Amino acid sequence: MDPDRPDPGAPLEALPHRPPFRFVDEVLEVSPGERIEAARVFRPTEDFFRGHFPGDPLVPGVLLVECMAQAAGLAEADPGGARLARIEGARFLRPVRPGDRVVVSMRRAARFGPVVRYEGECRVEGSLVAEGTVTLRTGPGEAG
Amino acid sequence: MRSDLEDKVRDTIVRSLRLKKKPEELEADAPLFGGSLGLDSIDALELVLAIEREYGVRIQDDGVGREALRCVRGLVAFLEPRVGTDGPRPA
Repeated sequence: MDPDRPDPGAPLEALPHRPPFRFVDEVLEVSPGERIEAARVFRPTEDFFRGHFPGDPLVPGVLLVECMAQAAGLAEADPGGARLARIEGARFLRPVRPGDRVVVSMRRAARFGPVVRYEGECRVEGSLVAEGTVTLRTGPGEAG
Repeated sequence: MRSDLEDKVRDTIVRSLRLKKKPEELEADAPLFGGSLGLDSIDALELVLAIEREYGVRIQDDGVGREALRCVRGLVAFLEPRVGTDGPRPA
């Protein structure tokens, strides 16, 4: 699926992010408020590959965290858009290269009031490439 | 006079929320959240998880839970019938 032209009927529309800063382009499975599995293909034409790094293109780890956060936000399906408030335990285990399809799996670990915490991981062809925990504030907020 | 439980609760609050205060400097009745400590809803989740981890007690997201998180005294009053005045026993 081309992330620049998402299916208007897909739950992706619940995400406030838009290209070029949408880092989920397919929802594979979702149990709202509990867990989600989503995917993002990092196309060789992504602009950041030109600088990260010249001659050695590599998806920045922070963008894998963004994948995790956006997937978690989709699982919450908050109409106002859940905002990233905290990142913990992020680990980047293998390089993600142009053309790789990242499958991100997140599950809700905790909730209190408007704040939710999801933990999860990113895989490429079954191999673990990153893991981490993201905390999101749902409803109106300033972080993010 | 403070109970052992209150001392432990103060320690839990300061440690889990990384406050730049000594446990004994927390005012028993001062609001934990939205007051001078500068704590917000993210910190509330952190404290809820710390209480669950250290005392084995879950604070629900309801009126009772919110009252428990109002101040040090509220948290002690909430925990006391659940863990006793000495606080949790070592596992």
